[in-house]
Amino acid sequence: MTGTNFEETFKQLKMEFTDKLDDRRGEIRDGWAALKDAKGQSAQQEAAQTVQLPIHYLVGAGATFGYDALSEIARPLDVWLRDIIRAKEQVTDENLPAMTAQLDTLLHAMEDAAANPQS
Amino acid sequence: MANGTLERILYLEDEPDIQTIAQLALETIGQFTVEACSSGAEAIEKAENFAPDLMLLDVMLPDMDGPTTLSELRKLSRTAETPAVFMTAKVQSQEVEAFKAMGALDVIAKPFNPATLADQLKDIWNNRDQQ
Repeated sequence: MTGTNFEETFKQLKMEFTDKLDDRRGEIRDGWAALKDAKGQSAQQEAAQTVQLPIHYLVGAGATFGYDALSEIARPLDVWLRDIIRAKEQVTDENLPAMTAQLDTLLHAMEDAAANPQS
Repeated sequence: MANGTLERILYLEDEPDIQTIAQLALETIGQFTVEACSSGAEAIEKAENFAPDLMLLDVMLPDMDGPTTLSELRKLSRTAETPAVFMTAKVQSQEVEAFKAMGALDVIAKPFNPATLADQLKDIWNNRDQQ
């Protein structure tokens, strides 16, 4: 396979990543709403597991496809959700507002990235 | 520098786009032969026949995670001592040390740069006797 094929495929994958950002935004927003509604540690762990998947994906893939900000903004959410899944942390009135603000920043960054794709 | 040439890489990653770009980078830039797998079970199934020089394993996977997959691969005669490298978004130093304690040669942080991934692996391979 040639270098040109690498560049073409990379460009194509970047476009696909960008095209899917709106769907992933919806997935994250719905997952977060479920987490906020979850009552009790076990329900919170289950909801956190669901919403962590697309957020963890963004941490690992965002900068690879040229969207460094998505990886950086998603990382603290990924860590917090992992702590909930491992029962080291719980969703509380004290920590939820800050994490929701971080989530809003992420959703806006995803919206911006979808509207202004990397070349 | 350690003996042996790095040619064959068993690569485990469940996200299709990340798998595609990393495999392409390793094959085109690094000139490696890559067997890509999407699950721990698939990696275990393919490992003995593929006979990798090195195993590159994502950590967070939906069913069997990377560390569990490595411990299963260690039970196979062909991969009992094959060097392994984890790829993960978990890059806190204590976590990296924990992965090394599980038998990983090193850890590559995600997100990774596809253009430099092959060189990162070559460096890890060439320095493996010093780790």
